[in-house]
Amino acid sequence: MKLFKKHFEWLAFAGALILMASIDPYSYKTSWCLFDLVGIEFCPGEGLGHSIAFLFRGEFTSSLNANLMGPFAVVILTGRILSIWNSFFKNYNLDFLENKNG
Amino acid sequence: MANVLDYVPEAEGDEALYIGKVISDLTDEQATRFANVYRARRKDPQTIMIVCLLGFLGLAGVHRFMLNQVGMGILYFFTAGLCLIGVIVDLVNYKDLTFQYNRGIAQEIRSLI
Repeated sequence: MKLFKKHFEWLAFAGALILMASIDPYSYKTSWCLFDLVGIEFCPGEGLGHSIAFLFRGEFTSSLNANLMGPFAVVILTGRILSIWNSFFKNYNLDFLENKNG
Repeated sequence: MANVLDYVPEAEGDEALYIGKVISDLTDEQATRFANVYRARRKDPQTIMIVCLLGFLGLAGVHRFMLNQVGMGILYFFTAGLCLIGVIVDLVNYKDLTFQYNRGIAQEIRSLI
């Protein structure tokens, strides 16, 4: 359970990126937006999934048309995943004290 | 030997264990100095959770700004918390998110003492 908790964030974001990358961007049948599911029409994240799907297919203009934040989302989420991985390798034990005193 | 409950009583779980190790070899004076700075700079997990909940009211990402994650904060702000999915992920994970931030703060302060 503790292992799952430790890896939950990056797994969730990586899973979301992979899921969004794998959808068909030309189909507008499915929406993963929770606002949509609840019935609220306006959502600033609308089209984010399609935007990411277009981006992974190399269609940058279509990606920006679907949602302006799409490419930014991919960059930021990838950066966050890498930052989490980096923190796993980083020593958060107290070795830095030995370097200071020694 | 300094005890975390005497100096940072609000720390719980993993944070309490980590801070306990950090201050274990400090004198009382050093531990007091550490605790004064740490308690001023640390983020409370409950505060982060409550601020995260604002995402359900349309104001997402503030908690990420509080944890010094500006890129993620901007992303959440302009996408309604990744269509609320990011908000839910953070609600499940708020304790670990806050601990990561506090751990970095503790290490920074400890290296200055």
